[in-house]
Amino acid sequence: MNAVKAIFLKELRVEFRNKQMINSYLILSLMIIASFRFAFSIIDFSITELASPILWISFFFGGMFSLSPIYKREIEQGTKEGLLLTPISPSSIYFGKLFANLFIIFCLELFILLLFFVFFPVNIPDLFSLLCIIVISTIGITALGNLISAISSNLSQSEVMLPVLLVPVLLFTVIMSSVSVTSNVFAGANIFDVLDEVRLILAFDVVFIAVGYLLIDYILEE
Amino acid sequence: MLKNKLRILVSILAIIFILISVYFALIYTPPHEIMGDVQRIFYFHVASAWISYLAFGVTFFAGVMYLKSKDFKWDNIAFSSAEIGILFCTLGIITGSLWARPIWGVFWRWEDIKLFITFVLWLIFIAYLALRANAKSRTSKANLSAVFGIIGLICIPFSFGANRIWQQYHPTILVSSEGSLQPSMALSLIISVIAFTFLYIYILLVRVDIEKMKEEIDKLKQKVGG
Amino acid sequence: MPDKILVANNIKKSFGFLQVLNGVNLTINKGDKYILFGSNGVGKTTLIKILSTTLSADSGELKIFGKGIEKRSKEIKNKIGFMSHEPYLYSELSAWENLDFYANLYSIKNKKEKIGSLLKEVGLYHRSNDRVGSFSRGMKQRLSLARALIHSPDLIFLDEPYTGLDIKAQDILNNLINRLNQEGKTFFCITHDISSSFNIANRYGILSKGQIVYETEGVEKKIFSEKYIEILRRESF
Repeated sequence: MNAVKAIFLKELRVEFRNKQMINSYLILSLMIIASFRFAFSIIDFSITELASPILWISFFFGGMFSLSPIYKREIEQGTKEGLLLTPISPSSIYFGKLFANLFIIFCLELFILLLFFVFFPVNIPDLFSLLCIIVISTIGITALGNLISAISSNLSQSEVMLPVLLVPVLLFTVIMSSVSVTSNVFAGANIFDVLDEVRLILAFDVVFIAVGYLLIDYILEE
Repeated sequence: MLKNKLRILVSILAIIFILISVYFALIYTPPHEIMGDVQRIFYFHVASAWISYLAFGVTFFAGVMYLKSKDFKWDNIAFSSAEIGILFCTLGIITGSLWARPIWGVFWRWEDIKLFITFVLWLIFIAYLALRANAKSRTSKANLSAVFGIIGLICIPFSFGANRIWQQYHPTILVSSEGSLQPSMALSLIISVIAFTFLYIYILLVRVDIEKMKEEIDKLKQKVGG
Repeated sequence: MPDKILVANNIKKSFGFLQVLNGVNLTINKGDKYILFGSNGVGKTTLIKILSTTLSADSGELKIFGKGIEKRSKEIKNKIGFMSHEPYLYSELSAWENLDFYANLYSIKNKKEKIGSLLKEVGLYHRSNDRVGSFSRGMKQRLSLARALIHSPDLIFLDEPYTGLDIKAQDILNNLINRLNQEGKTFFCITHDISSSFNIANRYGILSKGQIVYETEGVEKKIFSEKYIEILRRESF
C-alpha cells in the first residue's frame, strides 16, 4: 500500500512539474473540441443528439495522450529497472500509475467538459447523472488504457501503436456503451433509468482492474 | 514421422470434404425458396466465420498456455492461428457482404450483432499483428501479444453488451431474411463447416512448422555468427 | 571456509543472434571487493544486470545468499544495491524527493535521518532541494550511489562507477566503499578503466568473449595491467 502511494505521488509530481506537458494536454483538448465545432458548423444538427458522441470522442483522444507517457517515461529515463530492483510487486506499480492517471484524466475531462459547454451550448437536464456516468466509465477506460500503455511503451513506434491497440478494445466496448447511456442522459434520463447499462460499465471496470492486476507482471518483465 | 503422417491425413481429409461440400452446396441442395441461388454463398460464409472464431479462440488459449509455460511453441501456435483467423475473418466479411447486398439491399448493417462482433474481432486481431510486428525482442513479442490476445477476447462480451445497449436506443426494423433451413441445407452447412475445420487444422500445422523452421534458421545463423 | 554470497554457474545470455555471455562462472565471498575488467561491448553490463536480478539469463544457475532467484524474492532484493550506468533518478524531482521515493519503496524506517546522512556522505546535502535535471553527470552518479545504499544492502553492484567523477568525488566513493566494506558489506564492480579503480579492490577478474578468462587476488597493478593488455590484444584477433 505504501508503495502504491509513493508511486502515485511521484507520478503526480513528475507530471505537474512538467509544465509543457500539462499545457499541451489542455491545448490539445481545445483543438479537439474546436475541430468538432468546425465539422458541425457546416451542417444543421441537433446538439442533444450529437453531444454524447462528441464528448466521448474528445475524452478518448484527450485522455489517450496523457496515457501515453506514463510507462514510456520510465523506459526513456532508464528508471524502469530501478523500480524493478526494489522489492515492490509489479501490481503496485500498476495501481500507483492507475490512480495518478485517473486523477490527471479527471482533471482533463473537467476541462474538456467546460470547453464543450462553451462551444456546444447544450441543455443538461441532470448534471449529477452525467458526472456519475463520466466517472464510472473513466475508471474502466483508464484501467484498460493504463495496461495498454504499458504494452505499447515496450514497442517501437509506441506513439502510433497506442491508438492502434486502444481503439478496438476501448471504442467498441466501454465507450460505445457510455455514448448510448450519455445520449439518454442528454435526452432527459437520470442515472436510475439507465441502471442496467451502468452495471455493464461497472462490470467492465471491475474486470479490467482485475486483468491489470493479474497481467501487469508479464508486461513489465523483460 | 507421426506428425508428418498426421499432416498428410488432415490434408487428404480437407480435400475430400471440400470437394464434397462444393458438390453439396452447389448441386445437391435445392435453391433457397426466397433468396434463390444467392443463398449458396451462405455455406462458405458461415464456415469462414466459424473458422475465424475458432482461430481467435485458439489464439487466446495458446496465449494463456504461453504465459503459463513460457514455451515459444505456444506463441507460434497463437500467432499462426491469429493470422489464419484474420484471413478467414476477411473472407467471412466479404462473402457476408456479397450475400447481404441482394438480400438486405445493403452491404453492411451496423446494428446486426454478428456483423458487429466479427468486425470488432477483425480489428482486434489486426492490432494484434501490428503489435507483434513492432515488438523489440522475441520474448517481449510473445509476452505482450499473449497479454493483448487475452485482453482482446475479454473485450468481446463487452462489445456484445455495448451493441445491445446501442440497439435499444436505435431501434431498427429487422428484415426477415432467414426463411426456413431445409434438412438438405443444414447437411450442406455441416459438411462445409467440417471441411473448413480440416482446412484450418492443416494450414495451422503448416504455419506452425514454418515458424519453427524460422527459429531454427535464426539459431543456425547465431552459430555461424559466433 | 568463506561465506559464499553469490554463486553463478555457467550463465549464458544472447540477444537475438548475438551470444553475449557464454558460460560465466563466478563466486563472490562475503567481504569481497571484486572488480571485473573488460573492454567495451564484452558483456560486462549484461552480466551485472543478470547478477543484480534485473535481467534474466537464458540458462545457468544463479544463487544469491544461498537462494535461487527464480521466485523474484523480496528478501534478495532487500539485500542488493545496484549503482547502474543509468542513474535511475527522476529529473523532475529533487535529490531529496528521489531518495525519499526509493526509501518508501524499500519501506525504510526513520528515512529522514537516513536520507540526510547519505546526502551528506556523497557531498550533495547542500543541493537537497534542487531538481536532479539540473545536476551534472558526476553529481547524478553520486546521488545514484546514495540511492543504491538507501536500504543498507549487504551486496552492492557498481557499473562503471568512476565515469564522470572528478578526483574529489572518486575519493568520496573510495572512502565510502572502504568504510562500508569494513562494516562487512560486499562489493562487485565492473569497469574498463584500471587506473582509477585498481587500488580499491582485493579480487580481480577479466571478462573476455563472454567468459571470465582470468581471476586473481592481491597482485600488483603493473603485473595485472600487462595481463589485461595481453588478453585485450588476443581479443582483437
